[in-house]
Amino acid sequence: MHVADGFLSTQAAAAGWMAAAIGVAIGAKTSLASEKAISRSAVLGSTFFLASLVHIRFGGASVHLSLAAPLGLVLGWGAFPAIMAALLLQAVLFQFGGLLSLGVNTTDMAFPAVVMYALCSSRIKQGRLPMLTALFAGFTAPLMSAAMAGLFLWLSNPNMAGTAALLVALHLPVAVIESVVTLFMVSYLRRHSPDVLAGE
Amino acid sequence: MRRLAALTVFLLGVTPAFAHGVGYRIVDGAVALSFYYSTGDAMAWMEAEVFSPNDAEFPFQTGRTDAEGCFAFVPNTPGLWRVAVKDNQGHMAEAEVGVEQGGVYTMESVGSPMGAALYLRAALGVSLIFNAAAVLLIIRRRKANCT
Repeated sequence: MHVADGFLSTQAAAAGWMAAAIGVAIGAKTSLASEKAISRSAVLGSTFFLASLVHIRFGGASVHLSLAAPLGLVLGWGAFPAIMAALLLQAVLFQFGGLLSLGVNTTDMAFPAVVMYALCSSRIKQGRLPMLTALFAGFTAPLMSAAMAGLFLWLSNPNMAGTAALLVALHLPVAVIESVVTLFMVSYLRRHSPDVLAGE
Repeated sequence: MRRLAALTVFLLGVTPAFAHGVGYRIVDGAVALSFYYSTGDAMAWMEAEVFSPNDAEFPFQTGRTDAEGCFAFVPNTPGLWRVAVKDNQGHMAEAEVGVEQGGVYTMESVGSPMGAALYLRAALGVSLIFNAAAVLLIIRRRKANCT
C-alpha cells in the first residue's frame, strides 16, 4: 500500500501533501487535547507502525495490514498525525514508501480512517448494530486505502489504470483480517473501556 | 563508348556491401544486483531501468529482473550508476552503484533491512514514538503547572 517515490507526478504528490497537511492540522488538536489522547495516539501509532511488518501472501503478491479502521474509531481525526508519524518512521527506518510520497501515503491511509470514524463511531457508541458496523469499518477501510493509492498512481500515470483494481483485489484478504481485528477490538472496548472509542 | 563510360561511373558510385554476421563473447565488469522485498521474497520479473552518471533522465538500459530478482548491467564509464526496479503495486527499489576506473564497485545505498536489523529498527521506531509522546506529555504538564 506504500507508494514509493518515483511513481507519483509532482501534481499528485503535491495534492497528497496538501490533503495530509489539512488532516494533520485538524487532527493535531484532537491528539493534543488531553494526556489520554496523547497516550492513545502513541499506542495506536506504534501499532500501525508495527502492523506494516505483518505480511500476508496472496496470489503471488505480499500485502500487509494497516489497521486504519481501529485507528479511526479510537482517534478520529487524530488518525492523521498518528499515521503520518508512523509512515515517516517506516520510510526512514524500513525504506517503505518515501519522503516525497509521504503526503499521498498519509492521505491514502488516514482519510479512510476518518471516514470510518464519521460513519461508524457514533453508531458503535450508541449500540446500533455495533458488531456489524465494526465489521463494515474493518472491511471497508483497507479497500478504500488501496483504491485511493491506485487513484493517485493512475492520476500520475494513466498507464497504471489497472493498478487500482489490482491493489483493491490484492487487499481483499487484508480486509477480511482487519474486519475481524476491528470486531474484536470494538467488542473488547465496548465491554471494558467504552470511553476509549471516539465519537458521541 | 558512352555506355562504357556510364557503366564505369555507375559502378564507381556503388558502395561496397557486406553480409551481416552476429557473434557473442563473454565480457568482464558486469554489475549484478539482487532485488528483494523486506519479507525476503525476490522482486522477480519486475521492470528495471539503469541510469548512467551522464544521463539521469533517459535510461542507459531497460529490462526485467530474472526469476530470482537479479539484474545485471555493464557500465561503460566511471561514476554513480542508478538502478531502479519497480513492481505493479507502487513499490520501488533503488540501488546506487559507484563505479571506479578498473572496475571497482561500491554500493552507495542499501534497501530495506531484513532479519534482526529489521526487528531492531522496529524497536527503535516504537521507542521514538513513545519518546515523542513522553516529551509532549512533559511539555503539557509543565505548561499546566505554570498556569
